[in-house]
Amino acid sequence: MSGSSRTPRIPSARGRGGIVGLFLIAAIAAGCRLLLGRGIDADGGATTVVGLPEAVLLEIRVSTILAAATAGAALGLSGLAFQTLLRNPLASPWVLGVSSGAGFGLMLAMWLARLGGGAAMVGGMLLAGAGIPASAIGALLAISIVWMLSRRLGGFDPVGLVLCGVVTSATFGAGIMLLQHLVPSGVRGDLVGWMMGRIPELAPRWLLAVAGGSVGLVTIIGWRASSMLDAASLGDDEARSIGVPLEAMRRWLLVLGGGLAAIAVVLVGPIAFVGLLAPHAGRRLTGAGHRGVVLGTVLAGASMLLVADAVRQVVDLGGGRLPVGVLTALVGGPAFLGLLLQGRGRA
Amino acid sequence: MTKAAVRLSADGLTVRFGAVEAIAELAVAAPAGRVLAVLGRNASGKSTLLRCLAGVLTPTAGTVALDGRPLKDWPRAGRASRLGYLAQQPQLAGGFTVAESVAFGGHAVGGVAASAVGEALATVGLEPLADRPFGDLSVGQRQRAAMARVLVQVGADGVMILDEPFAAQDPGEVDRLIRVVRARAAEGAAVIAAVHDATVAHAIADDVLLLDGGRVCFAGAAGDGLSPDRLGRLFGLDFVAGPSGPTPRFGLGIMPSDDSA
Amino acid sequence: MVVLLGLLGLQALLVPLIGCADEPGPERTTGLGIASLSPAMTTIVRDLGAGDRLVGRTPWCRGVDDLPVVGALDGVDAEVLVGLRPGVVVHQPPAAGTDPVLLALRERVGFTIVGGRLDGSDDVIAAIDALSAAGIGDDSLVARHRTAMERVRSAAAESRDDARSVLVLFALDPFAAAGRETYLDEVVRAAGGRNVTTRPGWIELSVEEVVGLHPEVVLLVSSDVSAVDTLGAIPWTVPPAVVALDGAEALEPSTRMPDLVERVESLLAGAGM
Repeated sequence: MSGSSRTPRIPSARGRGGIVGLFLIAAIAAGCRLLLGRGIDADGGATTVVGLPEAVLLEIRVSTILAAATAGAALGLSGLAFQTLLRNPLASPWVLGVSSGAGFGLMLAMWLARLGGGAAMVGGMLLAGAGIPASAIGALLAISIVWMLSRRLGGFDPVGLVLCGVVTSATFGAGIMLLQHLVPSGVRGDLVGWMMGRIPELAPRWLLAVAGGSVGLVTIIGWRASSMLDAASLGDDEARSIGVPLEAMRRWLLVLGGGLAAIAVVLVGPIAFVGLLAPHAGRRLTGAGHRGVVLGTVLAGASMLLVADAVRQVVDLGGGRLPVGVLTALVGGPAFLGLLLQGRGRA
Repeated sequence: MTKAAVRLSADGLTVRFGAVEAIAELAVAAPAGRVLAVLGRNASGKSTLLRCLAGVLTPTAGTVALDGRPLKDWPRAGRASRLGYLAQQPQLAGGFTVAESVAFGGHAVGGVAASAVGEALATVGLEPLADRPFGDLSVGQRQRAAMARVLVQVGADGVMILDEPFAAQDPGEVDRLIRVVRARAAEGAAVIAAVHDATVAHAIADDVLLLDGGRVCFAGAAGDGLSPDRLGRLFGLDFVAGPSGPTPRFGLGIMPSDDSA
Repeated sequence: MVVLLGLLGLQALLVPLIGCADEPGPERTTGLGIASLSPAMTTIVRDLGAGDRLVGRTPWCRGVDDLPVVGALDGVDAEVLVGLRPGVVVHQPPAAGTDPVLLALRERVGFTIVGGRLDGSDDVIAAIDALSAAGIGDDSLVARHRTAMERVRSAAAESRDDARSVLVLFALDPFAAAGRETYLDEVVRAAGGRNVTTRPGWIELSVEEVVGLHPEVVLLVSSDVSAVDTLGAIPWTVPPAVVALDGAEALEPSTRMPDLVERVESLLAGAGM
């Protein structure tokens, strides 16, 4: 075999076009967000301002842009990992209850930290690093449950998977409520903001670095493993027969997808639909090969949160800016139903 | 070729799914240059046997060896380039084209020449559909695309495990596939194929293995195995000798049959 | 790969921006403005006579509807907060501690953060003192409200065994009551009542528990008129007198506590057989 004329590797011309397009969208959204801000008008009211701001505000905006882009990319990659793992187009951190699991992990650690003694030490350790260990454990627990159920039942059809996710999510949600019930009432309000999802405007730099580094690392891993991911699109037996290490690959997908979901949850809370829709947008715009899909998903996920965050800078219905989770759900909900209908039509 | 070397051999193969024993104590040997047809009623364990032989299902007991070396000891790439598998129902998610699906045959060795993909597609008669999405193909076309992938994967003298690629084809395509398989065998390939149709088995096989309830009821030369008598007992149906092998006489209800197709 | 490098390049471009923004502009001055992240603190600031200094609010602050919203459930609106250039930010920190974004902003912009938990008269007095120390409030108003709060505190401390038993309900579906160590418990005690609940904090109760507490008076902290019907449907052994304490100030632990005490006193007197 000669190395000269191998089959054309993806991304194709269409894939490259899609990636460039998505990159431009992400860049434009980031640019808009950089120029869009909130200021005070002559009457002392809040208003939308356009333009480059002073240094302090610039820092806030850049930090917000990095947080939004990183969290969006992390959610997208996590969704892609779960969709590949479960061979199911509706899989995503939020649909599968992985976001709830991460939230439960966080709550559990907070509760432990309040107990005192050894429990407090464990809680404190889990809460180190903005709670990434706690939420990662919760996220991995949730995805492992879904994965084991899927194995036992010989796979899910898309709707069955959604049902399983709803139940997982509700169970962890109940766990969160139980823990809230156990902590002093004053603490209960703390999580309301987190549950709504928010993009931190001044996230600690180390957290942005960890999250950005993780997204970058997973992107590179996905890029390098793209031909394996492509080949794993075959049926299980066929994929094994051509030398795809399916079991190892799935372990990695589970761990990386769960880890990224946890990081996204720590950074922005349980934001819905971005993890579901970003891989679809990536696939639509870059074609079938995972080399393109991985990059496309990163860019699509980043774009989605950047656009949502830019839009909320200009929408104030009197109660301050709209929470970003409201925007993503308003757009993502109908899109999800569309995917559901499309799946039914194909079946 | 004088005394052909055994390429793939299995011994004591047993597979249990929970309490159900799919196959028990099977022994198989596939020498280079020969085609072994596996026949049996539905659920007689053909697919389970083939999946074990292809190394995609780990048997409950027993071993499979490729060129004398247990399958599990082979490095991934070395095994994949010698042992190919065609599933009964090929699947491919995502929007990959037919040509891309064939190129996956070269996954373990880092890719495959575009000319080889084209050649393989021409061999199975799918060249005009090379750039169509795999998902648009009919079942028969998917099986032929998977056949092309196996051809690209294992090279001329490889071992090919084919799980019933003939049933969904029209007669012209059955004939094409038979010729493809025979040509490969002539080049030194060892082939094990599950076959439903006795006339196809007659045309393709050097040896046959008749399975009943997960156990061997005959293993030997095709001429002996494919007698109307044996097939009649295996399938619970009357067979007569015809010009292209034993032919079932349908619709006569000679023997009570519960689930035979 | 090229795109990935592009992304990294973009990050590389943006990160130094964060770096160079480290030192706040030298000409930056913070004003006298007060940005409030707590409805109760807004009320206290206004009562101390510094309402005209308020420049930012939450969606739930009363009497300051014209001001921009600087904080809601999903956190602080950093840009609006910076744009307001407040000298002081008042808040009620959650038990988990002050919002890190607020601390990061203080580091960069240099405002003072004033506030603490508000669970009773002690906390309100501490808030008055802290605001006064931060130069907020008219001295005479500070003194007046401080004295009034101290009166509430000492009145609440005089426990009377013959006091009428009061159940303070602020929600009916499910029943939610003010337990011990809440500001409403203190208001009831200062008004000459006795809180029938014994547990601390905000308590959820079943109908049986509500009946079993045998309150002489139910104090409804609600302006919902249908609530009275709901209470009428309960199979009391001895029906209690039901009085309603409406108005949003009843839901805030603030300098309105003395007013609340007076109102509850007259409600309890009016509910006398």
